[in-house]
Amino acid sequence: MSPFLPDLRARLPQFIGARPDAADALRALKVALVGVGSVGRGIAFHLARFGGILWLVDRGRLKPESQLTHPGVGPADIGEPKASNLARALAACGFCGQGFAHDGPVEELPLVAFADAGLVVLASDNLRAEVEVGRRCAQLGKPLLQASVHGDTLVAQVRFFSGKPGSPCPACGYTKAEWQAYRENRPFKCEPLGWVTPRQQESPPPAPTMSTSFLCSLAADMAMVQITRFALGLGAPVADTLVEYAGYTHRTVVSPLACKADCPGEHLEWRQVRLGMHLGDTTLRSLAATAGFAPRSFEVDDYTFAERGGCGCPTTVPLGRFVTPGEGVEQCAACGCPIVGHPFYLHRPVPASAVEGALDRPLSSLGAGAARWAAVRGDDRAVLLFHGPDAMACWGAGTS
Amino acid sequence: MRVEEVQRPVPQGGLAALDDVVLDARLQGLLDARAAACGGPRWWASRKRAEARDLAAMSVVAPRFKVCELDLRETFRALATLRAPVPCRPNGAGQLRVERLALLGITYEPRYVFEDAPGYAFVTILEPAGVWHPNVATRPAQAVCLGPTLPAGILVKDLVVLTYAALAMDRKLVQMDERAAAGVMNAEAAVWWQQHGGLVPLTGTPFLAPGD
Repeated sequence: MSPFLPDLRARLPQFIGARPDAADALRALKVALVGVGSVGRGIAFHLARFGGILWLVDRGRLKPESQLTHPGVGPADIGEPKASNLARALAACGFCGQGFAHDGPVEELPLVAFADAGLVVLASDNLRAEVEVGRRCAQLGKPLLQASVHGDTLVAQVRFFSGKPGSPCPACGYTKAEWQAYRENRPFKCEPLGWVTPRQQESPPPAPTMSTSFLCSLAADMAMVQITRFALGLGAPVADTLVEYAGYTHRTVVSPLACKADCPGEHLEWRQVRLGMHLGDTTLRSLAATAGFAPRSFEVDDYTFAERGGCGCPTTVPLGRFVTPGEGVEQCAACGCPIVGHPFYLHRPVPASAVEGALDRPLSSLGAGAARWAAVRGDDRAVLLFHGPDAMACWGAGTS
Repeated sequence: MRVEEVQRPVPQGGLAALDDVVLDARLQGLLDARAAACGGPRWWASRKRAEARDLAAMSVVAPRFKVCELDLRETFRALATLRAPVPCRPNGAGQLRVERLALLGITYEPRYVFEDAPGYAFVTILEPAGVWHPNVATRPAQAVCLGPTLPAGILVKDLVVLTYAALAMDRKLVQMDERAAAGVMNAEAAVWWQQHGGLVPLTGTPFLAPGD
């Protein structure tokens, strides 16, 4: 709780049907906020007044145009990373119990980065981030709120996904056009040679979302209504619903969200197990035993399992260990070049039958000593295992 | 002795009609065994089974292609032979060596169903060693680049045909300009092939045709 902020109860209304400890429930909110631009920044300022814990994630930097739509952004902020700028702004106001910031894409964070969050809020116009956050929330069983605007039609929209097994994810509602936009999101380069392709050089910067500060603020406020209703159990459940306000007609529509049968998301909640030891000290067999079922496959943090490696010599050599992309694990005696995982013999996830010889070796001796999490998958279930302190180390000390 | 040419039952629709191809016992057995261990989300498992079925059918109708092994457990993986001219590093006298058979390792990650992929993401030449081609890497593996980017959801059978065209040094596909970079995996070979343009293409035989 922030020492500078008055007690929340000084202004908190007696919500109809609210529990008596409403202030405590709001203060206990732990929210991961992905995308802290025009909409997300507004949500953050509201959430911070509750005094809970916030994790802020954004890959972008503040631009001069950000002043048009981002609350509380002035000329001195231009050029700063959005997430850490916001964390500092909240700390300067004396808001927020504790804040952590990640200035980069959400994909950079380990899967377990949101393990302690009670709610994930998504306010990004990046489709890759949307799909990734939706996937993570489904796996971690975290409720996810998504707030967005459509400037041309004066529409503000809030979707709330419960994160329960069988519930929808953001990608469930994607149209063909959205999948096309998802596809075209990222240019590629021929990485083995490190050369930039002409296409990449010519790619125009992505078009910004066109909107106004009031519409973004409206979406943020609508999101807060849903968050408060969710946290305090006010009114009808908000889980798996879409609330849409259309400015041209002043109509608000609430509709149910449904899981699409052919959605590419796995929609499988992973049971979570916090280990009392570092992952590096465990073995795949012990992880499988903790999971409690015969594993179909293993996934270990960002590592890939390399059955065999190569260096350019005519023959490949057995490796049987985890590697990171391009990591040279040993030197070839014949040519002196580093031996790296051969692309045809890389596995991620790695089938259990491909690691039979490595089941009893500690992960640290298999090249995955720094693993922050591991997943054991069966045919219709999965278990996520992690060491809490390692999982949260990606956030650093944070601000208070 | 009477030599009878084996007629391969190419469907009228060619590679677009692989569903109509009847598999022999070996291929059906391989497919059934690997499908039993097929893992992943439902959509991905279905996709892998369909791609595997296509490759098996392609083995029946294409005289130059044979699927040897399939792995549908997680990432889609296939081991296959492709009868095609495979240019290999010239000998000391500067003479190009051309092998007739390539052993291909094909992998397909589920994310490439929805994302455009770099051209080198799918096919690796496991044998022969020493492939000498502008669009085939030399180390750490002989990854084949089939273009700067490949569209999301590209079919595995199309990757095989593209690989054949690349090995045949089809002018429409092969990128030889080492300055353009996109697709060039071996700049030294690219320069060599620019100087030996008369050798291109190595074959003009269509993929489904017998011969070569």
